[in-house]
Amino acid sequence: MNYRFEVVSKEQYEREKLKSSMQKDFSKLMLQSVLEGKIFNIESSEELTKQELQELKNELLHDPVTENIYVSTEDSDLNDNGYYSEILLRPGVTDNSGAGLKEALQILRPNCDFEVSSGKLFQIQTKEEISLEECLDFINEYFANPLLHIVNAYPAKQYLEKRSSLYHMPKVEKAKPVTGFYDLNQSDEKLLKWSKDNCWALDLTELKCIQTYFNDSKVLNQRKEKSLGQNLSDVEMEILAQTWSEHCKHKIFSANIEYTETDAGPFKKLSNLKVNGLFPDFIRSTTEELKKSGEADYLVSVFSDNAGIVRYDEKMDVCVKVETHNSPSALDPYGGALTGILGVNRDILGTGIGAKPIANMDVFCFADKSLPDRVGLPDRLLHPSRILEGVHLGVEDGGNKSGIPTINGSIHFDDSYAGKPLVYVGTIGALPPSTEHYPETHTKNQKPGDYIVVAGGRVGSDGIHGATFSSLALDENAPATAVQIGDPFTQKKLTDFLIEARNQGLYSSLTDNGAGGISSSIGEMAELTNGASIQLEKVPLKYAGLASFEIMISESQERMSFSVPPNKLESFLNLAKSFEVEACEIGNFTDTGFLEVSHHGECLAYLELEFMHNGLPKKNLKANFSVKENPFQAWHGKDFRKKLPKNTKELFMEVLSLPNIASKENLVRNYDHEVGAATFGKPFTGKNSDGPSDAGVIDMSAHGGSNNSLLAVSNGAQNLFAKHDAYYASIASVDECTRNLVATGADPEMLSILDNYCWPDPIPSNTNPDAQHKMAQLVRSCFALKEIALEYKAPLISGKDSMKNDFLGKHNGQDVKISVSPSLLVTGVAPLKEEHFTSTNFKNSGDSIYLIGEKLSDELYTSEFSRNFLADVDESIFPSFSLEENYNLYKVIHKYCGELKFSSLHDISEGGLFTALSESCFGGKLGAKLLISSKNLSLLFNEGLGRFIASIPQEDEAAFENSFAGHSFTKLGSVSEHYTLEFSDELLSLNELEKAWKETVNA
Amino acid sequence: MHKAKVLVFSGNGINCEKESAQAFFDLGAEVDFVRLKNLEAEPEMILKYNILMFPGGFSFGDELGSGQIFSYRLKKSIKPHLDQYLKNKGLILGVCNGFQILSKLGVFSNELALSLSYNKSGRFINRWVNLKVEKNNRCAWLKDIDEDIAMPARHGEGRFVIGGDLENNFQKLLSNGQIVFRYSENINSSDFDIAGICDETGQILGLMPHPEAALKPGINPFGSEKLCQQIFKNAVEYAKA
Repeated sequence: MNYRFEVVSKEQYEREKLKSSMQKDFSKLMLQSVLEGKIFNIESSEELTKQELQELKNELLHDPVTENIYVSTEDSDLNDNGYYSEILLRPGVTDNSGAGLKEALQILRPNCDFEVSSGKLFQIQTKEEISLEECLDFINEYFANPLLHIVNAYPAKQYLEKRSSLYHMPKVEKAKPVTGFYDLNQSDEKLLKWSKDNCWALDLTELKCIQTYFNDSKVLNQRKEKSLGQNLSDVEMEILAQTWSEHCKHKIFSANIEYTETDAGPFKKLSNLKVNGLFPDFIRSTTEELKKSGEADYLVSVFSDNAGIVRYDEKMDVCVKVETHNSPSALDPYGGALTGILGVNRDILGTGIGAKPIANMDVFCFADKSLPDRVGLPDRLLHPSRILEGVHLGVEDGGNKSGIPTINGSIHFDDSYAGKPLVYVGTIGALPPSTEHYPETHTKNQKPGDYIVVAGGRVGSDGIHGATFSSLALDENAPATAVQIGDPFTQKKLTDFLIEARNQGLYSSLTDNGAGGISSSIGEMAELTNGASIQLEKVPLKYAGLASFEIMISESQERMSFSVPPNKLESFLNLAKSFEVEACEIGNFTDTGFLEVSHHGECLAYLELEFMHNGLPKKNLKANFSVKENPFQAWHGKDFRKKLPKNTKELFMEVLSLPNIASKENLVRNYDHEVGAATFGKPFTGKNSDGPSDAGVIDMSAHGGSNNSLLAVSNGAQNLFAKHDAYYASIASVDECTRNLVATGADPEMLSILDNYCWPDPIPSNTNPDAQHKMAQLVRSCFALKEIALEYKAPLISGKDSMKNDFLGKHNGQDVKISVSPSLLVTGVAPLKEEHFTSTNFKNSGDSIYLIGEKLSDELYTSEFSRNFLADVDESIFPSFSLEENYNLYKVIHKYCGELKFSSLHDISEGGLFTALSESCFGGKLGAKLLISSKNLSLLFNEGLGRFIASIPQEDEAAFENSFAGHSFTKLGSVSEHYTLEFSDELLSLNELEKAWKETVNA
Repeated sequence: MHKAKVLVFSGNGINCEKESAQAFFDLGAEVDFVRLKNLEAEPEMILKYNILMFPGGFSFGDELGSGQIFSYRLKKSIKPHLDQYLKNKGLILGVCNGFQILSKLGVFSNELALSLSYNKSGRFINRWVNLKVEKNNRCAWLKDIDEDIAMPARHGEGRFVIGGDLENNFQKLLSNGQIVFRYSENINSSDFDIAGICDETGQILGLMPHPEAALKPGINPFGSEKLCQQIFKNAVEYAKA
C-alpha cells in the first residue's frame, strides 16, 4: 500500500531571513510568500487501519496546533495560487526524516515492512506572473542541489489535480556487480586513462610502481595461494588508490623539494634549500626539538594518532584535531560541512582509546556575497551566499545536534575563495589519562585474533571516491557519489555508546571511518597487529547491489571501527543494541603481514601491508620563488578598491562594515556555544553580549578536569598576506593565534598549536604553470612556521593539508582558473586559570586605555584597510617584527593578568587599532576619550604583530608602566561613560558605528 | 531524611543529561540515567522516582518535529503510569527539547492545544534571556522565586503557540496559575512572551531556556546562579518532604 502525505504550516509565516535574502538576489520574482511544507511517501507491506492512519497523521507526521496534514488521495483546502514545487531525494541520498519515520512506524505497526521517503513542498506566490522555468530556477538556486535532489514544479491548479498521483519512492537499482580485474602491463596512456576513468588519482610513477611490484615472482606466488593471479582486482586497485591518495598519504608534504630563490624582492630571503619533506623537516622536527630541549613537557601523543594529545591537567588530557572539508562543501555546502564537522568529531572519538568531543570550532573562507554582482559567477559555481548559508547550517546542525558547543571560529572573505570555499572544522576532546580498564588511554592495545567490529550507520554507495576526488582539482567530472549528507543523530547515539563501551573496557582499539572508508580505517588499524582479514558479506548495507570495492571504500558516514577481544564481543554487541546502535563483526585482525579481503568466500584482495603503507615512491618537486611572478592576482582581473571617503565618519563606518571586519554575531548565535554548561569564555562578551571575544574558553572541571582548570582555544589565519609572501602570512597567523590566547589570560609558556594547510596545487601540469611559485610559497610558509614555533616554544601537535584548492571552469565563455590564496589556519590551545581570565570589553569609565606594542604610526602598510581603499601603500612592505620581543611581551602580559589585572585586553588584527578599540567600546557600551587624531590612518589601521588594546584602572597606571618598562606601549586615552569616540579633533557617535558594524554580514 | 531520587533521561539524541544530572547531584540527590529503550522494557520504574528530568537536546534529531518521536514512544510506554506518578506527588522538569517532548505528550493541559514551533526567525538561537516570573503561578519548582532570572536560551523550535482562541486560552492558563516564565525580550515570537509553563497540578514544569546551564558563577555572566539553583533546590526539598 502506498501513501503520500503533505504537511503544511497553518501560518502564512515566512522565514524572515530567507525572504530578505531572496528579495535581494531574486528581485524580478517579486516574491510574495514562500510557504514551506513537507512531503512523506510511505510504502507499507500491509494496509494500515483507519485508526493507525489517524495515529500516524496526528502523533507522528504533524503537529495539529501549527500544521495541517493532507492525504494526497483525498481533497484538500490547499491554496490554488502560484506554483507548487516538490523537492525529492535522489535514490541513495541519506534521508534522515525518512529514517526517523521508518523507525517510528515499526512501533505503530510491528511486523510490517515499510519504506519511507521524505521531501519538501514549496508553494510560491509572486506579485507578477512568472513562468514555470523561472519558478524552477528559483527553487534550484535556493533550495535544491541537482546532485541530491529531483525537483518538480507545477502551476498550483495543475498540482492540485495531479497530487493524488505524485507518490514517489526513490530506490537504488543497481545491476548485479561484477568484480573487475586489471592487467597493469599496459601502455602509459592506458594506465593513465584507467586512473582518470576510475577516479584513482594515481600518477604514472605510482601506477608503474604498482605494476612492478605485482610483476615480482615472489608476489605472484603469494597471490597464487589465495587463487589470485597477476591481475589486480578492482578491490585491490581501489584500496591502493585510497591509501596512496594525497588526502590520506600527504604526498606533497613528504616529497623532496628543491627550493630556489630567483628574486625574493623585499621579502625574507631563505637562500636555496633542499627539503627532505616539509612534514619531517619543518613540522615534526619542530616538536621534536622543543621536546628535546625540555620545553613542552605536556605532550602525550603527537602525529601518531587521529589527534594530538596534551596534558595540562593531571586529571584530564586534551585532544585537538582540525580538518578541512573543502571539496565536498563546494559540491554541496550543507552536506559537505555537516559531514566535515561530524568527521572531525569522529577523529576525536577515535583518538587514543576514545576521547569525548567537548567543543567544536570552525573557520570558513568564502567569496563575499557581492561577487556575482561585481564580476558574474563562473559556470557551475554556487552563489557565495548559498555556500555561506549551507556551510554555516551544516556546522550548526553538526554541532548542535551532537550536543557539542561551538566555541570559537571566524569567517574570512576574499574573491580567491569563489572556486573552492575553505571549510575548516575542529574539535577538542577530553580523555582521562587512565581508566579502570585502560592504564594508558593514549595507547591502543589491539591483538591478533581480535574481532573487527564496525558500528554506526549502514553502507551505501554514498561517499565513494571522496578521498581520491578531493585529491583532484574541482572540475565538471566530480562524481555525484562523493556528495553525502551526514546524520548527526546516528552519530550521537554512536558517541554515547562508544563512551559507555570505553567505560566498560569492551574493546582494545578503535579508529574512525573517514576518507577511504574501511579500506583506510582497517588498513591503518591492521598495522597495529600486522594484518587483517575482512569478509565483506558481513558488512550491513543500505541496499543490495553494491560492488565489492564499493563496500570496501564507501565513506558512508557515522561509522567507527573497533577491535574487540573475543571474550568481549557478546557484551559489546549487546551494549550496542541497548543504545540502538547497529554494530557488526566483519572479520579479524591478524599478524600475517597482509590485508586480506574476501566476499562470499572468494578472495578479492591480498595486499602486503608493507607495500600498502610504505611502497609509495617519494615525489621530487621543484620550488622557485620570484616576486616578479605572482600568480595570486585577482582571477577576474579587476580592482574593486574604493576611493578614500573624505569624511572620517563615513570612512570609519565603511571600515567597520567590511565583510572581514563586520560583526558575525547573527551567524555565531545560531551555534549552540554553551551546551554542556562548560563554556567559560563565550564568543561574545560584555553588557549586552555583543563584543567579540578573542578566544573560546572551556571549563575542563565540568569534563572531569581539576578545579580551576580552563582551556583556551583560538585561531589565526592571516592569509591574504600570503598572496605576496606566505612566510610573513605564516608568522602573522601564529602570532595572531597566540595573541588571542594571551589576551584571554592563557599561559603563553604552555601553548600547543596545529597547522592546517589549504594550498593551491603546487604540482606542475598543463593547467598549472605557476606550480613552482605555489610550492615555493608553501616552503616559505612551513619555514616560517618552524621559526616562530621554536621562538614561541609552541609545539605543533597535529595538522592536516589539503593541496588541490583550485577550480577549473568557464567564466563568460572563457576558461578560468581560480586558485585559493595560500591559506594556513593556525589553531592554538593553552591552559588558563580563572583568576587570569580577561575579556575584550571596556568595563569602567575612567579606566586608562593603552596600546601595548609598536605604535606603527609613520607609514601605512598592507592591511585589510589597504586591500579595500585606494591608499598609497606598497603592498610588499610589511611592518617589521621581533619574535623574541613578542614572546617576552606575552609573558609579561600573562604575569600582569595574574597580578594587577587588566580591566580589558583585546588583540589587534584585521582593521587595526581602530577596530579593536571600537569593539572594546561596543562590548562595554562605553566610549573612549582619546589623545590621538582621527586622521592618523597609519596609527588607526596598521596591523602589525604583537599588539593589544588594554584598559586598566587609572590608579594602576604607574604600576602598569613599571611592569611594561622595556616594552613598547602608548597611552591612548581613557574609557568614557558617553557612547562616543572622542578623538583629539573629532567626536563620533558609537551608536552609528555599531550599527554599521552589525548590519553587514547577513547569512 | 531520605534522598530525592531523580531519573534523568539520556540517549536518543538528548545532550544536556550531564549538566542536568549534576544540578540534582550537587544538592545531594540520587540520580540515575535512563534510556528510552530501558524504560520501555520496564515503564513502571518511573514510580520509584521523585523527579523525572527530560533534558535538552535533539531527540531523534528533531526529525518529524522536535520531540515528536520521543513523545510518541513515551505515549506508547509510560503514559499509562504517569497519572499514578503525579498522584504520588512526583515532579517533572522538561527543559528545551524536554519541554517540547512534554508539550507533545500533552501533559500541560487536557483542554488546551499547546505546542512549540519554529522560532519566527526560522533559525536556532543561543542567547541569554531575562525571564520574568509570573506572579501567582502554581508551580512547585518556583517556590519563593519571584525575581527575574537570566539563563541561556538555545533552541530553533521554541516559539510557544496556544491553539484555538488565543486571548481566551491565554487567560485560562493565566488564571489557572500555569504560566510560569515570560521573556523580557521575546526572542522567538512566542505567544504572550511565554517561555515556560506548568501543568494543572503545578508538579510539571516545562521551559525553553536552560537553568541547568546557569548554575556556576564562571559560566553565568549575569549573576543569576543562585536563583537557578533555587529551582532545583525547591524540587529536591519537595521530594524529601
